[in-house]
Amino acid sequence: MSNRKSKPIPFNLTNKRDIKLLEYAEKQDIAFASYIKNLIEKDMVKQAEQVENIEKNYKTKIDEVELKNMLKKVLKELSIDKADEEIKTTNTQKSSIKSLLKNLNK
Amino acid sequence: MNLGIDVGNGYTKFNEGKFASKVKVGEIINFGKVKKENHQVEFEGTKYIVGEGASFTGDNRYFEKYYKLCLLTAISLSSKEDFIEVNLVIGLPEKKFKLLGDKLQKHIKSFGQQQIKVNDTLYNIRINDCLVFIEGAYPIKTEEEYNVLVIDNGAGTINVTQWEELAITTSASYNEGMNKMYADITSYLNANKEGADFKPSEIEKIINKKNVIIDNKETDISDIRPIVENHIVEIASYIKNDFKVKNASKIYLIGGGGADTITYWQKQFPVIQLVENSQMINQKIYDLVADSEFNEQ
Repeated sequence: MSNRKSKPIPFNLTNKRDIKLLEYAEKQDIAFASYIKNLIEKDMVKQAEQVENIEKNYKTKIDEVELKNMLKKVLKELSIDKADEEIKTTNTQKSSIKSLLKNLNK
Repeated sequence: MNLGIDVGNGYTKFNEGKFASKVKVGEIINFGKVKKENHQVEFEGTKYIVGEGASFTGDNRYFEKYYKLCLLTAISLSSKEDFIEVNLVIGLPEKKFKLLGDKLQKHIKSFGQQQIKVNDTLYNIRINDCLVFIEGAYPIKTEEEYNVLVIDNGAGTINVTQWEELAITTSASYNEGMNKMYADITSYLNANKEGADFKPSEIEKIINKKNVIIDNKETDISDIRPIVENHIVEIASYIKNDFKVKNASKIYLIGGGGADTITYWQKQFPVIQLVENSQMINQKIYDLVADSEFNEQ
Protein backbone atom coordinates (compact mmCIF):
# COMPACT_ATOMS: atom_id res chain seq x y z
CA MET A 1 0.00 0.00 0.00
CA SER A 2 1.33 3.44 -0.94
CA ASN A 3 2.21 5.81 1.89
CA ARG A 4 0.97 8.80 -0.12
CA LYS A 5 -2.50 10.16 -0.64
CA SER A 6 -3.32 12.56 -3.45
CA LYS A 7 -6.32 14.90 -3.60
CA PRO A 8 -6.78 16.32 -7.10
CA ILE A 9 -8.28 19.81 -7.30
CA PRO A 10 -10.21 20.38 -10.52
CA PHE A 11 -10.52 23.91 -11.87
CA ASN A 12 -13.30 24.72 -14.32
CA LEU A 13 -11.72 26.79 -17.08
CA THR A 14 -15.06 28.29 -18.03
CA ASN A 15 -15.66 29.63 -14.47
CA LYS A 16 -14.20 33.12 -13.79
CA ARG A 17 -13.60 32.46 -10.12
CA ASP A 18 -11.78 29.17 -10.78
CA ILE A 19 -9.60 30.79 -13.44
CA LYS A 20 -8.70 33.64 -11.07
CA LEU A 21 -7.79 31.23 -8.27
CA LEU A 22 -5.74 28.98 -10.54
CA GLU A 23 -3.82 31.91 -12.03
CA TYR A 24 -3.06 33.30 -8.60
CA ALA A 25 -1.88 29.91 -7.29
CA GLU A 26 0.38 29.32 -10.26
CA LYS A 27 2.08 32.70 -9.77
CA GLN A 28 3.35 31.62 -6.32
CA ASP A 29 7.00 30.68 -5.98
CA ILE A 30 6.28 27.36 -4.34
CA ALA A 31 4.88 24.08 -5.62
CA PHE A 32 1.11 23.94 -5.88
CA ALA A 33 0.78 21.13 -3.33
CA SER A 34 2.98 22.96 -0.76
CA TYR A 35 0.94 26.12 -1.33
CA ILE A 36 -2.30 24.30 -0.58
CA LYS A 37 -0.76 22.67 2.54
CA ASN A 38 0.37 26.13 3.77
CA LEU A 39 -3.16 27.47 3.25
CA ILE A 40 -4.65 24.57 5.21
CA GLU A 41 -2.15 25.13 8.01
CA LYS A 42 -2.96 28.86 8.19
CA ASP A 43 -6.67 28.04 8.32
CA MET A 44 -6.06 25.57 11.15
CA VAL A 45 -4.24 28.23 13.21
CA LYS A 46 -6.96 30.79 12.49
CA GLN A 47 -9.72 28.37 13.51
CA ALA A 48 -7.89 27.48 16.74
CA GLU A 49 -7.44 31.20 17.54
CA GLN A 50 -11.14 31.81 16.95
CA VAL A 51 -12.10 28.97 19.27
CA GLU A 52 -9.65 30.28 21.86
CA ASN A 53 -11.11 33.81 21.58
CA ILE A 54 -14.65 32.52 21.94
CA GLU A 55 -13.63 30.55 25.01
CA LYS A 56 -11.76 33.55 26.43
CA ASN A 57 -14.76 35.89 25.89
CA TYR A 58 -17.07 33.32 27.40
CA LYS A 59 -14.79 32.91 30.44
CA THR A 60 -14.57 36.70 30.86
CA LYS A 61 -18.36 36.89 30.75
CA ILE A 62 -18.68 34.07 33.30
CA ASP A 63 -16.07 35.75 35.51
CA GLU A 64 -17.98 39.03 35.29
CA VAL A 65 -21.25 37.34 36.22
CA GLU A 66 -19.57 35.48 39.07
CA LEU A 67 -17.89 38.67 40.30
CA LYS A 68 -21.20 40.57 40.14
CA ASN A 69 -22.96 37.83 42.09
CA MET A 70 -20.14 37.73 44.61
CA LEU A 71 -20.24 41.52 45.05
CA LYS A 72 -24.02 41.43 45.44
CA LYS A 73 -23.61 38.78 48.15
CA VAL A 74 -20.93 40.77 49.98
CA LEU A 75 -22.96 44.00 49.72
CA LYS A 76 -26.00 42.17 50.99
CA GLU A 77 -24.02 40.82 53.92
CA LEU A 78 -22.69 44.25 54.70
CA SER A 79 -26.15 45.69 54.05
CA ILE A 80 -24.68 48.69 52.30
CA ASP A 81 -26.68 48.02 49.16
CA LYS A 82 -29.82 49.13 50.90
CA ALA A 83 -29.22 52.84 50.46
CA ASP A 84 -32.34 53.30 48.40
CA GLU A 85 -34.39 50.98 50.53
CA GLU A 86 -37.47 52.79 51.77
CA ILE A 87 -37.62 53.24 55.51
CA LYS A 88 -41.13 52.90 56.79
CA THR A 89 -42.08 52.89 60.42
CA THR A 90 -45.14 50.98 61.60
CA ASN A 91 -47.74 52.53 63.89
CA THR A 92 -46.47 50.43 66.83
CA GLN A 93 -42.93 51.62 66.20
CA LYS A 94 -44.12 55.24 65.95
CA SER A 95 -46.06 55.13 69.21
CA SER A 96 -43.25 53.34 71.06
CA ILE A 97 -40.68 55.88 69.78
CA LYS A 98 -42.94 58.71 70.96
CA SER A 99 -43.51 57.24 74.38
CA LEU A 100 -39.81 56.41 74.79
CA LEU A 101 -38.82 59.96 73.88
CA LYS A 102 -41.42 61.30 76.31
CA ASN A 103 -40.04 59.14 79.13
CA LEU A 104 -36.45 60.01 78.30
CA ASN A 105 -37.19 63.72 78.34
CA LYS A 106 -39.07 63.61 81.67
CA MET B 1 -33.63 64.40 53.86
CA ASN B 2 -34.01 62.46 57.11
CA LEU B 3 -30.90 60.65 58.29
CA GLY B 4 -29.92 58.43 61.18
CA ILE B 5 -26.18 58.46 61.87
CA ASP B 6 -24.35 56.49 64.54
CA VAL B 7 -21.00 58.11 65.37
CA GLY B 8 -19.71 55.26 67.52
CA ASN B 9 -16.44 55.02 69.43
CA GLY B 10 -15.21 52.51 66.85
CA TYR B 11 -17.01 53.27 63.60
CA THR B 12 -19.31 55.90 62.15
CA LYS B 13 -22.26 54.12 60.58
CA PHE B 14 -24.62 55.69 58.04
CA ASN B 15 -27.06 54.36 55.45
CA GLU B 16 -24.36 54.02 52.78
CA GLY B 17 -21.78 52.24 54.91
CA LYS B 18 -19.23 52.96 57.61
CA PHE B 19 -15.77 54.32 58.33
CA ALA B 20 -13.58 54.22 61.45
CA SER B 21 -14.36 57.11 63.82
CA LYS B 22 -10.82 58.40 63.50
CA VAL B 23 -9.43 61.63 62.11
CA LYS B 24 -5.99 63.00 61.35
CA VAL B 25 -4.73 66.15 59.72
CA GLY B 26 -3.17 65.40 56.34
CA GLU B 27 -3.68 64.17 52.82
CA ILE B 28 -4.23 60.67 51.48
CA ILE B 29 -1.20 59.66 49.44
CA ASN B 30 -2.45 57.99 46.30
CA PHE B 31 0.22 55.34 45.90
CA GLY B 32 -1.34 52.01 45.10
CA LYS B 33 -4.56 51.04 46.76
CA VAL B 34 -6.41 53.65 48.82
CA LYS B 35 -8.50 52.22 51.63
CA LYS B 36 -12.18 52.51 50.69
CA GLU B 37 -13.15 53.55 54.19
CA ASN B 38 -10.73 56.50 54.29
CA HIS B 39 -11.99 59.86 53.05
CA GLN B 40 -10.12 63.00 52.12
CA VAL B 41 -11.88 65.90 53.79
CA GLU B 42 -11.29 69.63 53.73
CA PHE B 43 -12.99 71.69 56.43
CA GLU B 44 -12.42 75.31 57.42
CA GLY B 45 -9.21 75.47 55.37
CA THR B 46 -7.60 72.33 56.82
CA LYS B 47 -7.18 68.96 55.12
CA TYR B 48 -8.05 65.86 57.11
CA ILE B 49 -8.13 62.12 56.55
CA VAL B 50 -11.36 60.76 58.02
CA GLY B 51 -11.19 57.02 58.76
CA GLU B 52 -7.66 56.87 60.17
CA GLY B 53 -5.69 58.63 62.88
CA ALA B 54 -6.81 59.43 66.38
CA SER B 55 -10.09 58.25 67.85
CA PHE B 56 -12.13 60.43 70.20
CA THR B 57 -13.74 58.87 73.25
CA GLY B 58 -15.16 59.95 76.61
CA ASP B 59 -18.14 62.13 77.54
CA ASN B 60 -16.74 65.17 75.78
CA ARG B 61 -16.33 63.38 72.44
CA TYR B 62 -19.72 64.57 71.20
CA PHE B 63 -18.55 68.19 71.40
CA GLU B 64 -15.13 67.70 69.83
CA LYS B 65 -14.24 68.84 66.32
CA TYR B 66 -13.50 65.29 65.20
CA TYR B 67 -17.06 64.18 66.09
CA LYS B 68 -18.38 67.04 63.96
CA LEU B 69 -16.05 66.04 61.08
CA CYS B 70 -17.21 62.41 61.19
CA LEU B 71 -20.85 63.52 61.32
CA LEU B 72 -20.53 65.96 58.40
CA THR B 73 -18.55 63.38 56.37
CA ALA B 74 -21.26 60.76 56.96
CA ILE B 75 -24.00 63.24 55.95
CA SER B 76 -22.07 64.08 52.75
CA LEU B 77 -21.55 60.42 51.87
CA SER B 78 -25.26 59.69 52.49
CA SER B 79 -26.44 62.07 49.79
CA LYS B 80 -26.30 62.10 46.01
CA GLU B 81 -26.79 65.89 46.09
CA ASP B 82 -24.16 68.45 47.03
CA PHE B 83 -26.61 70.79 48.75
CA ILE B 84 -28.07 68.84 51.64
CA GLU B 85 -30.86 69.90 53.98
CA VAL B 86 -31.02 67.34 56.70
CA ASN B 87 -33.07 66.31 59.71
CA LEU B 88 -30.75 64.27 61.84
CA VAL B 89 -31.10 61.52 64.44
CA ILE B 90 -28.02 60.60 66.46
CA GLY B 91 -27.59 58.54 69.62
CA LEU B 92 -26.30 58.43 73.17
CA PRO B 93 -26.10 55.59 75.68
CA GLU B 94 -29.25 55.63 77.81
CA LYS B 95 -27.20 56.39 80.92
CA LYS B 96 -25.80 59.54 79.34
CA PHE B 97 -29.07 60.78 77.87
CA LYS B 98 -30.21 62.82 80.87
CA LEU B 99 -26.81 64.44 81.28
CA LEU B 100 -25.98 65.13 77.65
CA GLY B 101 -29.13 64.74 75.53
CA ASP B 102 -30.31 68.36 75.54
CA LYS B 103 -26.82 69.79 75.36
CA LEU B 104 -25.92 67.61 72.37
CA GLN B 105 -29.13 68.43 70.51
CA LYS B 106 -28.52 72.19 70.94
CA HIS B 107 -24.88 71.76 69.94
CA ILE B 108 -25.73 69.95 66.68
CA LYS B 109 -28.54 72.38 65.84
CA SER B 110 -26.09 75.26 66.33
CA PHE B 111 -24.05 73.98 63.35
CA GLY B 112 -26.61 75.62 61.04
CA GLN B 113 -25.07 75.68 57.58
CA GLN B 114 -21.67 74.09 57.02
CA GLN B 115 -19.40 73.63 54.02
CA ILE B 116 -17.17 70.57 53.69
CA LYS B 117 -15.22 68.98 50.85
CA VAL B 118 -15.33 65.19 50.88
CA ASN B 119 -13.37 63.22 48.27
CA ASP B 120 -13.17 66.25 45.94
CA THR B 121 -16.87 67.15 46.14
CA LEU B 122 -17.85 70.33 47.93
CA TYR B 123 -20.99 69.87 50.03
CA ASN B 124 -23.19 72.54 51.60
CA ILE B 125 -24.99 71.04 54.57
CA ARG B 126 -27.84 72.66 56.43
CA ILE B 127 -28.98 70.88 59.57
CA ASN B 128 -32.64 71.84 59.91
CA ASP B 129 -33.40 69.69 62.92
CA CYS B 130 -31.71 67.20 65.20
CA LEU B 131 -33.04 64.60 67.58
CA VAL B 132 -30.99 62.65 70.08
CA PHE B 133 -32.15 59.08 70.65
CA ILE B 134 -30.73 56.23 72.75
CA GLU B 135 -28.46 53.38 71.74
CA GLY B 136 -29.60 49.77 71.95
CA ALA B 137 -33.32 50.34 71.37
CA TYR B 138 -33.57 47.10 69.40
CA PRO B 139 -37.06 46.12 70.71
CA ILE B 140 -38.43 49.28 69.02
CA LYS B 141 -37.37 47.79 65.69
CA THR B 142 -38.73 44.31 66.39
CA GLU B 143 -41.83 45.57 68.28
CA GLU B 144 -41.27 43.05 71.06
CA GLU B 145 -43.39 43.93 74.07
CA TYR B 146 -42.16 41.22 76.41
CA ASN B 147 -39.15 41.35 78.71
CA VAL B 148 -35.91 41.41 76.71
CA LEU B 149 -32.31 42.22 77.49
CA VAL B 150 -30.16 44.04 74.92
CA ILE B 151 -26.37 43.97 75.21
CA ASP B 152 -24.70 46.53 72.97
CA ASN B 153 -21.07 45.40 72.77
CA GLY B 154 -19.52 48.56 71.35
CA ALA B 155 -15.95 49.69 70.84
CA GLY B 156 -15.82 52.10 73.76
CA THR B 157 -18.52 50.90 76.13
CA ILE B 158 -20.87 48.00 76.68
CA ASN B 159 -24.38 49.39 77.15
CA VAL B 160 -27.05 47.09 78.51
CA THR B 161 -30.78 47.79 78.63
CA GLN B 162 -33.66 45.68 79.88
CA TRP B 163 -37.04 46.28 78.26
CA GLU B 164 -40.62 45.48 79.03
CA GLU B 165 -43.62 46.63 76.99
CA LEU B 166 -41.23 48.63 74.81
CA ALA B 167 -40.06 50.73 77.74
CA ILE B 168 -36.69 50.59 79.52
CA THR B 169 -36.83 49.11 83.00
CA THR B 170 -33.07 49.03 83.79
CA SER B 171 -29.94 50.24 82.06
CA ALA B 172 -26.20 50.33 82.65
CA SER B 173 -23.10 51.39 80.80
CA TYR B 174 -19.78 49.60 81.38
CA ASN B 175 -16.48 51.07 80.25
CA GLU B 176 -15.03 47.69 79.28
CA GLY B 177 -15.77 47.85 75.56
CA MET B 178 -13.70 46.30 72.77
CA ASN B 179 -11.06 49.07 72.96
CA LYS B 180 -10.10 48.11 76.52
CA MET B 181 -9.88 44.45 75.52
CA TYR B 182 -7.77 45.33 72.44
CA ALA B 183 -5.41 47.27 74.75
CA ASP B 184 -5.10 44.27 77.12
CA ILE B 185 -4.41 41.90 74.21
CA THR B 186 -1.83 44.32 72.74
CA SER B 187 0.06 44.45 76.06
CA TYR B 188 -0.02 40.66 76.34
CA LEU B 189 1.18 39.99 72.78
CA ASN B 190 3.93 42.61 72.87
CA ALA B 191 5.20 41.24 76.20
CA ASN B 192 4.96 37.54 75.35
CA LYS B 193 5.58 37.09 71.61
CA GLU B 194 9.09 37.62 70.36
CA GLY B 195 9.31 40.53 67.93
CA ALA B 196 5.68 41.56 68.44
CA ASP B 197 4.90 45.25 68.08
CA PHE B 198 1.14 45.46 67.87
CA LYS B 199 -1.06 48.54 68.19
CA PRO B 200 -4.56 48.19 69.73
CA SER B 201 -6.09 49.18 66.37
CA GLU B 202 -4.57 46.05 64.78
CA ILE B 203 -6.17 43.57 67.19
CA GLU B 204 -9.68 43.69 65.68
CA LYS B 205 -8.40 41.84 62.58
CA ILE B 206 -6.61 39.06 64.46
CA ILE B 207 -8.79 38.49 67.51
CA ASN B 208 -10.26 35.18 66.27
CA LYS B 209 -7.21 33.96 64.34
CA LYS B 210 -5.16 31.02 65.53
CA ASN B 211 -1.91 32.02 63.83
CA VAL B 212 -0.49 35.34 62.64
CA ILE B 213 2.87 36.37 61.19
CA ILE B 214 5.03 38.05 63.83
CA ASP B 215 8.58 39.02 62.89
CA ASN B 216 8.34 36.90 59.70
CA LYS B 217 7.37 33.81 61.69
CA GLU B 218 4.00 32.13 61.86
CA THR B 219 3.06 32.46 65.52
CA ASP B 220 0.29 30.81 67.48
CA ILE B 221 -1.82 33.49 69.20
CA SER B 222 -4.67 31.28 70.41
CA ASP B 223 -3.46 32.04 73.96
CA ILE B 224 -5.16 35.46 73.69
CA ARG B 225 -8.53 33.71 73.86
CA PRO B 226 -8.56 33.48 77.67
CA ILE B 227 -8.12 37.29 77.73
CA VAL B 228 -11.25 37.69 75.61
CA GLU B 229 -13.04 35.11 77.73
CA ASN B 230 -12.08 36.84 81.01
CA HIS B 231 -13.22 40.15 79.63
CA ILE B 232 -16.66 38.79 78.73
CA VAL B 233 -16.93 36.83 82.01
CA GLU B 234 -16.27 40.06 83.93
CA ILE B 235 -18.94 42.05 82.06
CA ALA B 236 -21.38 39.14 82.27
CA SER B 237 -20.96 39.04 86.06
CA TYR B 238 -21.83 42.75 86.26
CA ILE B 239 -24.88 42.15 84.07
CA LYS B 240 -25.98 39.17 86.19
CA ASN B 241 -25.79 41.40 89.28
CA ASP B 242 -27.37 44.54 87.83
CA PHE B 243 -30.19 43.01 85.75
CA LYS B 244 -32.97 40.51 86.18
CA VAL B 245 -31.49 38.29 83.52
CA LYS B 246 -33.76 35.33 84.32
CA ASN B 247 -36.87 37.45 83.63
CA ALA B 248 -35.77 38.10 80.06
CA SER B 249 -37.48 36.00 77.42
CA LYS B 250 -34.71 36.88 74.97
CA ILE B 251 -31.19 38.26 75.20
CA TYR B 252 -29.91 40.11 72.15
CA LEU B 253 -26.31 40.94 71.33
CA ILE B 254 -25.74 43.96 69.10
CA GLY B 255 -22.83 46.35 68.42
CA GLY B 256 -19.59 46.19 66.46
CA GLY B 257 -17.94 43.81 68.91
CA GLY B 258 -20.85 41.35 68.83
CA ALA B 259 -19.76 39.13 65.93
CA ASP B 260 -16.22 38.65 67.31
CA THR B 261 -17.36 37.77 70.82
CA ILE B 262 -20.63 35.86 70.39
CA THR B 263 -19.10 32.46 71.25
CA TYR B 264 -17.80 33.85 74.56
CA TRP B 265 -21.15 35.50 75.38
CA GLN B 266 -22.94 32.21 74.64
CA LYS B 267 -20.95 30.53 77.42
CA GLN B 268 -22.34 33.10 79.87
CA PHE B 269 -25.86 33.40 78.45
CA PRO B 270 -26.74 30.29 76.43
CA VAL B 271 -29.92 31.90 75.03
CA ILE B 272 -28.14 35.00 73.69
CA GLN B 273 -28.70 35.73 69.99
CA LEU B 274 -26.44 37.79 67.77
CA VAL B 275 -28.67 40.19 65.87
CA GLU B 276 -28.18 40.14 62.10
CA ASN B 277 -26.18 43.13 60.90
CA SER B 278 -25.39 43.79 64.56
CA GLN B 279 -22.95 46.62 63.94
CA MET B 280 -25.46 48.68 61.95
CA ILE B 281 -28.49 48.15 64.19
CA ASN B 282 -28.36 51.46 66.08
CA GLN B 283 -28.06 53.37 62.80
CA LYS B 284 -31.05 51.48 61.36
CA ILE B 285 -33.08 52.36 64.47
CA TYR B 286 -32.11 56.04 64.15
CA ASP B 287 -33.35 55.89 60.53
CA LEU B 288 -36.70 54.59 61.85
CA VAL B 289 -36.84 57.38 64.44
CA ALA B 290 -36.03 59.97 61.77
CA ASP B 291 -38.82 58.64 59.57
CA SER B 292 -41.25 58.59 62.49
CA GLU B 293 -40.44 62.00 63.95
CA PHE B 294 -39.59 64.11 60.91
CA ASN B 295 -41.96 62.81 58.27
CA GLU B 296 -44.99 64.14 60.11
CA GLN B 297 -43.75 67.69 60.00
